[in-house]
Amino acid sequence: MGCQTGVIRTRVGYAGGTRKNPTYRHLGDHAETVQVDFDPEVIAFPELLRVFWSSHDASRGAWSRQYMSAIFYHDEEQGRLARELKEKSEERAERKLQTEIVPATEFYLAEDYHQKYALQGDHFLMREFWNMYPDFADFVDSTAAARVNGYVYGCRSLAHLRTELGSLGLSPEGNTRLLERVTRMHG
Amino acid sequence: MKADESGSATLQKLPPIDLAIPKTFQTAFLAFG
Repeated sequence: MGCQTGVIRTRVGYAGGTRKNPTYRHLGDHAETVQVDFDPEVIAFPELLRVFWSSHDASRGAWSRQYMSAIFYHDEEQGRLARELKEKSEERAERKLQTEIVPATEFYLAEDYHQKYALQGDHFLMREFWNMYPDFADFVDSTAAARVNGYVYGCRSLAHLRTELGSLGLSPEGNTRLLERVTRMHG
Repeated sequence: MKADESGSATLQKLPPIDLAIPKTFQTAFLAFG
């Protein structure tokens, strides 16, 4: 999700449950959830939902709430759009989607090691982000970090990366590193 | 280094994409299963 044009930031956390201050080990009835801040002038909410449904199999029921498919809407317009689009997606696919569409409750930020997980696994690129963002909270909120995390995860093509590589703040060596990683995945 | 020089240096290090964040945006909370 982080490398979709129009997405500003992504933060991993827990939502949808009743337990106060959940953690990964003590999740209670929460679901693993991604907060996506986006510019609606660039990517509209329905388009964001199309990406959401195309990136996981929502027809398969989750065996626990931790891994449920859900949209936590925080206004009636989002709820209405989500229900409409879910119905259309079901008609097109001729199968039911298990995605729950429910009002948003409190969102709890997950532990640091869950944030930008794929990017944190690349120590070369992380050195550059530590230099740009000594404060981890700023790193989590960074659009560049969301983008690079998405590319490391493999969610966009080499051609797309080339269109915005210069805006990500990496050194020439960092650019080369990222290009090599995406080339290995997408050719 | 003076405070203003330090601030300027910090700003120059930030990725251009992070300096172009719109003032208004929307939020979605999505659980991907």
